[in-house]
Amino acid sequence: MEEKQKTGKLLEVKDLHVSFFTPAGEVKAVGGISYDLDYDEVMGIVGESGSGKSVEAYSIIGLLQSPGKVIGGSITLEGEDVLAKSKEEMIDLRGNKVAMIFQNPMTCLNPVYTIGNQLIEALKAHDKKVSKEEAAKRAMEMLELVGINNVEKRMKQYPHELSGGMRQRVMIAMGLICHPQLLIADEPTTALDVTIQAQILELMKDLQKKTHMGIIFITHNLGVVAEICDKVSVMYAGKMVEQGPVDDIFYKPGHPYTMGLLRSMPRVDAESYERLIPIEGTPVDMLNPPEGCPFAPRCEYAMKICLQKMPPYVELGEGHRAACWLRVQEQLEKEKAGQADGKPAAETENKEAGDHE
Amino acid sequence: MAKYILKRVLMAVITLFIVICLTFFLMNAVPGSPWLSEKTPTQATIDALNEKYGLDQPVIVQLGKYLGNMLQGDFGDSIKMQKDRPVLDIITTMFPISAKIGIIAIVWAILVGVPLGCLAAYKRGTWVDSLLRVICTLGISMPGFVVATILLYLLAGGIEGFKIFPTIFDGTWQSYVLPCAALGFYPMCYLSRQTRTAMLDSINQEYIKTARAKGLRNRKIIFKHALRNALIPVITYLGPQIAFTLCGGFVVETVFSIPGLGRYFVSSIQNRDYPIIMGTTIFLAAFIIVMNLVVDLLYKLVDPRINLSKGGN
Ligand SMILES: Nc1ncnc2c1ncn2[C@@H]1O[C@H](COP(=O)(O)OP(=O)(O)OP(=O)(O)O)[C@@H](O)[C@H]1O
Ligand code: SF4
Ligand SMILES: [Mg+2]
Repeated sequence: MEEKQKTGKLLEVKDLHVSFFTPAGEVKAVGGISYDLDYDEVMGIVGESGSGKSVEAYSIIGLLQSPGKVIGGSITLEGEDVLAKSKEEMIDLRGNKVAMIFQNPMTCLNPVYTIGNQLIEALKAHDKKVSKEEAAKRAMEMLELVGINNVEKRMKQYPHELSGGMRQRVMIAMGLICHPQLLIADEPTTALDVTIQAQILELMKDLQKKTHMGIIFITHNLGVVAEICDKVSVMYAGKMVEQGPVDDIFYKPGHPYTMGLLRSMPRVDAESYERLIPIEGTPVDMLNPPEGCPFAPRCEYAMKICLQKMPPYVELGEGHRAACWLRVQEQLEKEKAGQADGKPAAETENKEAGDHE
Repeated sequence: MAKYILKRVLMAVITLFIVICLTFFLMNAVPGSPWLSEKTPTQATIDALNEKYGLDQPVIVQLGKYLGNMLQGDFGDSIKMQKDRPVLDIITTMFPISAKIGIIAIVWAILVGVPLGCLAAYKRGTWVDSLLRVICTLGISMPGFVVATILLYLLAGGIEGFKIFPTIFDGTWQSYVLPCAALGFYPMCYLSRQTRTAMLDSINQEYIKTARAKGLRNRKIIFKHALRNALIPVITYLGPQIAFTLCGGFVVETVFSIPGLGRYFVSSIQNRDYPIIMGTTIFLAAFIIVMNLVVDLLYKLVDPRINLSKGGN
């Protein structure tokens, strides 16, 4: 595998807004999220079902289905504006520079074509000149790379002849066959059972080290995040409520929602009688999102201001920020104390998260 | 595979046997006799005729005899319509005419219906889709003779000075056009609707998302990934329809005076020409059974998940 070590940002997403214009009204599936990703970096996106994780990822690769539309913000990939690209340019980008793998390997491969056919097709979509033999050779190399043995036989098999874990390996091979710089994995292990899950994670970690690509890893399992990610973005109701390096998120969570997620996460080392605490309440109705902090209706710390205004991001450490009024309050108190001590005030980046008034 | 085919053949034989027995009893249970026409013959003549053709014996004995002869390849002779001409001979001269028209009809129905279905699915919700929906709904709900009559009116002299095609079938290529058009119209419309539904279903499958994520072009996504899967339900419908169309639309053959098997079959029932009824029924049943088997094998070709040797259908 060729080494691709580049400097500079691989992906920058700034204040992205995505809405679905349904007959019932506008669904603000993604309401202003920002992050960036370096080469060689793995970012996890966590959040419960419907929080906008997939929609956000589809926008990057131009796979939003109507009535979905990016209505604001920017996506920059290796310095190029993705949103300004034409349909043709997006086709060239997909599967080539950016690859995506999906949740359910059972339904993501076309049942009527062989594994070989589908792999070769992925390569030929972006490399028109490659010969049949060369393409087959590359496909087999990819299969070997993702830990599949007996590749000649596998090439001729149909998806239903492979196990779920094996199919997900094929999906990964298919995603990587054109050596993408960015891999978006939308819950790639959710549909697999636990042992297979661990194997696939292991494989992805391994491949990431070999290829130096950036990976966006979407999941609602924090355990998976701990396993593979360098940093994490926590999404809630289309907003990014907290973002930071994995250790910070796990040991110094700043947002009540993140804390809730951590409490509801099964831990391998936990005593079996320790109760998991689910987050109370129901997810936000995306058609009529509440004003203020979207988590307020379920938040045990909710204050008056939470219901009125969206909290700004508060810097909690190197690359670690959260959007919560509690943290704003803390910050202000610290500043006061600091001023009383005569020390300079802590730096605060009061960027508005989400909707701008 | 061989085991599967053997099993199917065995099933076919049993089915045929049941069809034969049922037809034989029903045919004899229906009132009327071959000898009744405008000039009713005397009772003595009728008795003599009945004796000559063995119709005086109990039905079960007649059936036994018929089956015995059939196993030796003898399907009897016509007793009325073409007196004493072997039934097998009649079928082998009449079926090719029906089959030829039927094949042309079904081929154009497939070649036009499937792409139109794809088009409607691809353009769903637009005026193209709506227009096709109207045409196809009409085609599905209109009886065959209405379609045939409209075609005759429009293209065969209904309009003053405008007669491109003959009204009566005479074996020339021009005389094939209207019957084939009329016979294929219904399956074309039906196929088109079926294809549309199946295409919409397969377009929403996850592997289409994968295909898009790979950076494939639209044409390839539709025609390679969606269509092949959409064909699976379409083929199911095709089996019986092919048999049905090939054996001659009775209505179309009547409207265009085509000497085909469909029309002949119906008049053989009217005339109580028992051997012809039996022969034609057996032939049609066997044909439909064979077509269904062919379709099941075709299935396997389109859908690799189907494992015939495990007895799955
Ligand atoms: N086709 C659509 N039409 C209307 N709204 C949609 C559509 N697709 C997604 N949405 C909206 O976008 C929101 C985010 O959906 P998304 O699929 O991104 O959630 P997710 O975080 O990926 O959830 P999951 O964990 O279940 O995959 C949903 O709440 C839904 O209301
Ligand atoms: S802003 Fe308020 S409601 Fe929102 S998470 Fe923080 S404390 Fe809870
Ligand atoms: Mg999702």
